[in-house]
Amino acid sequence: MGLEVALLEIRKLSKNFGGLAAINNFNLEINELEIHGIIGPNGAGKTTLFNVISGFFPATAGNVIFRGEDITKLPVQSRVKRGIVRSFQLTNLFMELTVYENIYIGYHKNYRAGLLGQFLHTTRAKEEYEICTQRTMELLEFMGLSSLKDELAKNLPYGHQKTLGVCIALATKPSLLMLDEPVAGMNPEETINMVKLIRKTRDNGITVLMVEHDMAAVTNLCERISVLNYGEKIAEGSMDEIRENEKVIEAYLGRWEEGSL
Amino acid sequence: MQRGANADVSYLQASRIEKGGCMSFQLFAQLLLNGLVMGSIYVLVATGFTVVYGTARVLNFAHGHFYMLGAFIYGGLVLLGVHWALSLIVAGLALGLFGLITWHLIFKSLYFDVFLTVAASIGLGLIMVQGIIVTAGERDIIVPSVFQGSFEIGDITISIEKLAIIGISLGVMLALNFFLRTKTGKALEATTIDQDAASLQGINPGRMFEITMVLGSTMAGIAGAVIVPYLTAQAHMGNPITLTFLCIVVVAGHGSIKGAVIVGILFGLIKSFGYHYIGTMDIILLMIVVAILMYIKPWGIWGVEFKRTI
Amino acid sequence: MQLSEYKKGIALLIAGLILIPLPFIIKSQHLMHILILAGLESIVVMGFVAQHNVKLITFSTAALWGIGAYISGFLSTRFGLNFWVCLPLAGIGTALFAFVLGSLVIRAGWVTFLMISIVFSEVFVETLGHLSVLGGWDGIAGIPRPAIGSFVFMSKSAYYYLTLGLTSVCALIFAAFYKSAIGKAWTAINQSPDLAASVGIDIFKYRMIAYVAAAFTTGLSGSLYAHYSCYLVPQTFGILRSLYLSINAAVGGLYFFISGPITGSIIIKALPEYLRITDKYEPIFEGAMIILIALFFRRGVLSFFRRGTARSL
Repeated sequence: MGLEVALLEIRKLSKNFGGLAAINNFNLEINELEIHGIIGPNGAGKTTLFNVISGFFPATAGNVIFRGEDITKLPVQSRVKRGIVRSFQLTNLFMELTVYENIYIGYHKNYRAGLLGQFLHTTRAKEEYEICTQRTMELLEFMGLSSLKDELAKNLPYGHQKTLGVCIALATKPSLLMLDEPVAGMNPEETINMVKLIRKTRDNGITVLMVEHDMAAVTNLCERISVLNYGEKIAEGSMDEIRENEKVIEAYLGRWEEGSL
Repeated sequence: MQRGANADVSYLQASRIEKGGCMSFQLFAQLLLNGLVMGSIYVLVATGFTVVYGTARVLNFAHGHFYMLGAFIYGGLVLLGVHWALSLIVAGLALGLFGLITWHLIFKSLYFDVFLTVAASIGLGLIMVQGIIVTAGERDIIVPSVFQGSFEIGDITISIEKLAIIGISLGVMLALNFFLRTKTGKALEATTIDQDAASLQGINPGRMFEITMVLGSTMAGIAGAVIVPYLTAQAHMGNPITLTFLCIVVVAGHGSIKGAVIVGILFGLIKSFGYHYIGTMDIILLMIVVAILMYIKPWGIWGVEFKRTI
Repeated sequence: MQLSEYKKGIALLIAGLILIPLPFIIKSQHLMHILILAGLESIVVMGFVAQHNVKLITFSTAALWGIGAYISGFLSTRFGLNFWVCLPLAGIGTALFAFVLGSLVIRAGWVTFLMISIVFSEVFVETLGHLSVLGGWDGIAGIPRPAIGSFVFMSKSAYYYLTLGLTSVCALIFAAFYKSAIGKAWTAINQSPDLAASVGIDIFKYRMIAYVAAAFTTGLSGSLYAHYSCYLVPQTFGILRSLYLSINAAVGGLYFFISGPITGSIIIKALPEYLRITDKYEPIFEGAMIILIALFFRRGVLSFFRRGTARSL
């Protein structure tokens, strides 16, 4: 911390849909190897935030800066190449493919052979194929999915599907992993597993930014937390600090009374 | 699509404007008025299409033929002696009903698959056009206009019929605007922006799609009914209008009503002035304009930028 | 995996054993004609299916076919160029055109691509009709049959072999694409464009590859069509033709990338002969057929024999 350049810096980010301001003047700094949480009531704009940072939606105003480089205007694949990868809230998998194939495609980004090489199956392409195969198996081990490697993604139970989603994101060898509600809909046992996995991921050198509703998971994992409400950041700090914050309590309470929590 | 009557061209013939020559104020005013007439029809048809697409994500390529059907129903009723206002209302309602039926029979089961929807809608168009040809023939049918006469403002002759067309179209758009402010209308808008979020708030998306389909079809039907005395009724009249509204929606941004209005009127004016100076190649001009705009603003000018991947 | 490769090999062998000596077995000229058209159409349909696979839906397949046909027809009649020169030029010309159009339109998303494809189809036919240098609505006539030395491909049987050759070549080209990493990227885009993008696959690039490859093969097929029919008119290449070609794809099976187009084309070309309806009602029948296929037969014929997942050749 201190004088280091933050890994990810978001400055005055705004996103409008027509007249609706989904995100308004959002600022954030994430440091290397941090696990940072983003929480907030439903509809606060958390997934939209992820969409903009990862490049799926263009920003209306503001900047996204990664390792000192302004990536605000870059397309999704360029951001992935630089090491920013996101997972999806609703399961997004290659359903008709096996677990192994799902992850293998995740390694595609690291594929070194050029277009022509891919087409003609050159020696280089074959070498790359070997390496990708090897790495895929390693990752399967890491995530505990080896036994399921030939199972079709659509046949997996929900918990495993979410894990696979994270696994695919990891296959791209990210520097910053953005997880959108990784434990949503999981039973306690699955949640504990995912939490362990996320910690293992960070310990392997990957910075994590996660959106979550599950406060236990957030408390367990996140060193710092930002709170979003109606597209604006209303608080930031450790879990203890957030818990005491009046604005945060009001936000959640207000939504609870309104019935939209 | 077979080459049928170029319905957009005949309106200029109806106005008997000579091509070429210097632009007098009188000529300018006429071209402007004609442009507004066609423009308001384009607006109705394009808005109908974009509303159905924006909310239900249904690309109905028979939409132009809904317009044609509206024209024929109105024309048929008027020729039978029914009062014009009643005929107009019946035409609109009939198309609304027709839209409802096609939604339930065809589009409801297909809306998740774009290719199948488009293919089925083109198939539907085939049936509709041939159905009209079998019953009413392929020739132009002239429908008498209710609004005869014109009045003068200074040097300029303004035909009442043209004003009526613009007026009725305006009325329909205002009604739409009013509808969108109601509770149902707001539910519609919510469904358009985010279907999942809307359903979480208790809105039934299927119902919304149904309503949209009815709305869109009605608008197309009214557009056809309103313009048919000015042009003629012809089985293939849906084709040129399909091309036009597709261009409008592409340029304006699919799903955007505001865009459809502005670009619709713009296209009406371009056609009017363009035809006067360039002739039937005006569609080429349009294409070039569209291509350039596509390059600058791929999502359309007022298009909500959906995710970049799709 | 080994067993299915083995099975595929056997299937191909059987197909070859039937197809190659076919003209000597079948004497019907009419049947030959159907097979030739089915073969040429199947190439175009392979292109359609490849684009559909990356979520690019197009109704200008016939227009691209027309570009290839007109390039070949024009060059051979106006400049007397040899067919064997016109053929690759038709393919390259169509591919180049697709490259330019694709660069403009694909980035805007599949909706715009679809709408532009429909508009382009109409404009293409109208433009051809108005260009007197290309014969206007009367088209180009007197396109010569191909020849090697003194042997001219006059008979339908001879042209059958030409068609068989080109169809096989195009099938091989597509097969090579599908088996490569490009094919894997295509599958990824098909299964989930969002996920594919999130792992760094450049959606635009891979869509362009599919589009241009489809255009190239379609152009080749167009050239062969022009020299078979010897006569071209603009109306042949309008949007309805594109729709019918895409129906070939649906009937065969949209996820059977090579066998689907071939099967579908053969079925569609062979069928109408036995279903003659009066001219007046024919479009109604066709429209109804299309709707019924869309509603009830969308998986295609081949799905009854094999499950068409995202990667069946």
